[in-house]
Amino acid sequence: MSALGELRTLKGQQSTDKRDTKVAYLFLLPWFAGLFLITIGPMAASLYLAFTDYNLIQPPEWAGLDNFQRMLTDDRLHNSLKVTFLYVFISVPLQLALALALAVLLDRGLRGLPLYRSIYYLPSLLGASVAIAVLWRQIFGTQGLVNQILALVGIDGRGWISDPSTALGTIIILNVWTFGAPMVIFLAGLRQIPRMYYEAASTEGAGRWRQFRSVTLPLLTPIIFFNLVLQLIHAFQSFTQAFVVSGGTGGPSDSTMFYTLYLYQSGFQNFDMGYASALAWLLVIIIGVFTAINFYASKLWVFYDD
Amino acid sequence: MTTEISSTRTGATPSAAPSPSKRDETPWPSRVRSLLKHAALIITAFVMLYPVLWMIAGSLRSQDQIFQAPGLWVSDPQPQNYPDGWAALASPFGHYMLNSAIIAIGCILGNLVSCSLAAYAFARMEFRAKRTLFAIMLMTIMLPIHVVIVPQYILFSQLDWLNTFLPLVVPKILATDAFFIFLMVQFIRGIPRELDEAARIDGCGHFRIFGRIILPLMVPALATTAIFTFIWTWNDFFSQLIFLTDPDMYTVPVALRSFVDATSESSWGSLFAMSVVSLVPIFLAFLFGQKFLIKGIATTGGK
Amino acid sequence: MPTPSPRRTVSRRALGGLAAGAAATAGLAACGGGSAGDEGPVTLRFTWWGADARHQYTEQIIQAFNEEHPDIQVEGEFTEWSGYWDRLATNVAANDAPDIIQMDAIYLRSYADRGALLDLSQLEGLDTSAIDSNALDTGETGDGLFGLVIGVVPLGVMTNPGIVQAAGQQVPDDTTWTWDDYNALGAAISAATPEGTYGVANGGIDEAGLQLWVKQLGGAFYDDEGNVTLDPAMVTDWYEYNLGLIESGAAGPVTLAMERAVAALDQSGIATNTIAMQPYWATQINALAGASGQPLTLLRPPTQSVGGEPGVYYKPSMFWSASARTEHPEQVATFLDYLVNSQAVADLMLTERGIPANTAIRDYITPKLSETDRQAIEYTDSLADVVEDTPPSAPAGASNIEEIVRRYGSQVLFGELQPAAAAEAMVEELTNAVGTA
Repeated sequence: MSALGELRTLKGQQSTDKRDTKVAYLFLLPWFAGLFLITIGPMAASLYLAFTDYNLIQPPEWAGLDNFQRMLTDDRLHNSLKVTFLYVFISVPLQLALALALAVLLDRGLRGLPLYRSIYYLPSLLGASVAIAVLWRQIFGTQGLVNQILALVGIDGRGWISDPSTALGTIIILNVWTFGAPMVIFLAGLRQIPRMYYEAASTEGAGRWRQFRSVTLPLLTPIIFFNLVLQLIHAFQSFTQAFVVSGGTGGPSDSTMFYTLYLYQSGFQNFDMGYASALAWLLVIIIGVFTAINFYASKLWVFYDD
Repeated sequence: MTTEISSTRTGATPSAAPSPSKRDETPWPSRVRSLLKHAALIITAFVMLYPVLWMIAGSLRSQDQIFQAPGLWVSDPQPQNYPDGWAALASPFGHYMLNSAIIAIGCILGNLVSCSLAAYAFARMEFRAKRTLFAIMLMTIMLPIHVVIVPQYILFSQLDWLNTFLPLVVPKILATDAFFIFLMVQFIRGIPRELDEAARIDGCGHFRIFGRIILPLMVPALATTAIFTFIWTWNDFFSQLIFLTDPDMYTVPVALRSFVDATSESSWGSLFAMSVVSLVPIFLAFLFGQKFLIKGIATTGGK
Repeated sequence: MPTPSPRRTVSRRALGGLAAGAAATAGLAACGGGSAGDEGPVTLRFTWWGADARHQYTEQIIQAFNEEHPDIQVEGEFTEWSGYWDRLATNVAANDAPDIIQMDAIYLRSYADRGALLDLSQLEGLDTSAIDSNALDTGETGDGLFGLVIGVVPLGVMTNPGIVQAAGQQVPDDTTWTWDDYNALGAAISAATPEGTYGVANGGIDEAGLQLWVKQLGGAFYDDEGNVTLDPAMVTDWYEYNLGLIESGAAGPVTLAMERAVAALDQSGIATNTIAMQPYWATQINALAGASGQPLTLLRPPTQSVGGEPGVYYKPSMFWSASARTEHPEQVATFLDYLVNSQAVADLMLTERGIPANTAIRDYITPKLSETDRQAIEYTDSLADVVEDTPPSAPAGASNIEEIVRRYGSQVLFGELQPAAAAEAMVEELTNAVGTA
């Protein structure tokens, strides 16, 4: 029910807070070390570079707000934002719904579930390998599997992967199809729900659907919340799938030009790392806003047992 | 979807009290239902399996058949792709798998220890600047790698860590993978607080509560972390490409990309054969690892 | 300008230009340790892109060289095309560039003009006398010789005679054909072959095709100083011709072309025997014939009008470059000399990195070549009387020219932009990119 830092009501807690801070920092020691030794430096460098003109080869030159001003008139950037938002808001809900449904289905009660789970996870194991790129073309290409099947029922297909109006759709399908990671997290979450709740619900005569609604879902909300936050962050940063499927181009005609793909092209192909860094920090702000909204909204629907 | 979900035996245990629908249920329709479910699962399984089957088919085809032969049928199998691919690069392919395995194991251990410690602090303790630190932690995973890779490279080059596994493993030991911290935070918060409050009243400190109560109860989250770390490290291309330039240190994804090149003649047969080979360890890891996913409160005795 | 390299004692570790400004340098620069007077062999890092066949024989070259030169230890680093450039950019940014770098014409000036590469004309012990002088010039920028050309290759129309004949057509006389003939023949082949097979590949999205077209019309992308001189009218003309290929049925659907534009060579129409004719670099006949499994032949590109200029030129297939920060220019020269002049190298490399620009080496390997290699060389030789100067290579800022051409071309082919508007916009984007670099 509570968000982070909720006041605790149990007696005798106030006095331990000071000691808690010391011990807590001890628990956080590796993380602090990583933050200060490894993470912060490069992050700060990229923030600095966002205000420079930096071609990777010559030293950066201070450019003030030039990079940010340029964003206002950069049509390709605006297009990439559109593509990315479309992708995020379609693929994340679809993927999570599918992952949750299959997690519940594959949780228990059937023979051979471990094997099913592993098979359903397989597409996610492939990652963004070269094989996936080839495969996707073999499936969604002009002469691909989908069109061959459509031809059997007399429908004239199209080049799904290379038609600007459907290319993004195929990448969304690719992403939804690799629902393995959120599914596994849901599975682990389901396992953590104490049996006694179901037993109690059954004795009260609740059917399976009622049990799902009144036991599974509420107790799973922290995990649903986790998956939502992380999938959102990942989706905004989505890179490899579009990179692999479009051969790194974001094509056809920029229809799969994801934000990070554009950023990568600016930095590594156009040697414009200053602009790329500025783009990266804009992305941090965008993701940050959505994550914050998520956290505030979570107070309304996420149920914590603590 | 909803019908599937409602028909699942979500909470059914042998001792479950009869629900209204269960009254007229005999073993026979239940068997039919389970058969139907299997049928649906198997058909779906084919959609999920297709890429791997296709990859295996590709690994057995000759170069000119890979893109010309449709479907999964291999008319003239070329098992030679396997030994060819294994020996095609500077070292046998097993060498790269070993490198990947070393990195993956280091990352798994690192993530398990450091992330669970941090997660416990965030989930169960009150301390100064907690919300700010939590926000910073999340922010560190919002910045795309492409703009930090150059500064990171310079940093690791100054530490003289290039062409060692340190740039890939040490960050995990130092809990830079906020994904897993957050994951564990959510799981710990799902553990009823009465359990550690009780221990605290018995005089246990945080380290004992963490070690004795929380850790055993978060086995599913730890298993998830271990499995994901393994798979993601095994597949991670970009940072391994950048930090490891010496072919002796190459890993599976870097080696796999060495089979194909956009501008010259590629060895697709070898690529697919070695892709299949490199899939085996992560598939097995998943198959066995999920045993631990199943160990929840239900089985570890959270009464 | 890059800051002068601090005297480094260990070749592989150094500060980046980026770090140099920020992190008070002196102490850090010395952290590599070791002393200048180290005994033992000099280590050179050598990097290239390619697939496993290239990796294998290049490792053998290195081994042979190391045996011959015990005082130099060359270490190879390899990967594929796109990862290669990411890694190289990172290495250069961190002042940790490999000593010897395989280089492409598209990136040559991006690195050279910014001071990352060594002027090879200053090297002693590097003999370039056997290299065809026109070819050698392709590695020159205004400031020096930054790329040592490995091979040259002309564009040709890769043709599958089997498909042409199956359609009841003849392989045309390539000394007299025009683009109109190309279109008509393509349409006839498309009409007479099964669904899914087409006479010609879609054009309008490949930079090499536009280069050729512009050259035939007497224009050029850039001048020698690296300014953009591309005439939008010529681009418009090119778009219109390529739209005509679709209209006549000579070329297939645009989507197919877009798929293939980003796929590997082995998935192309020629490789899968579903297209009869498509312009390619001549040496690609090796890979294409291998994937296709059928005999292929190379034709001269059609001309704008009967007897017009074919506009063909020898494109540098790739270069050897060296890092401007190498600490061992002498040893680099020794190795580069070995790479371009040694018969032992030629025996291993053959034409895999292009038809050698070194004429002596080329004559030396000719008898050892495969059938398809010989086809490529014969084709190249047959152009000797019509070949024109190689156009200036892409200036800094134009390293993504292929992507720009493909993007605007696809917008035209998909009907999102009118040819003239697309041509104007493309030239403008290119001009801006080069101007701000």
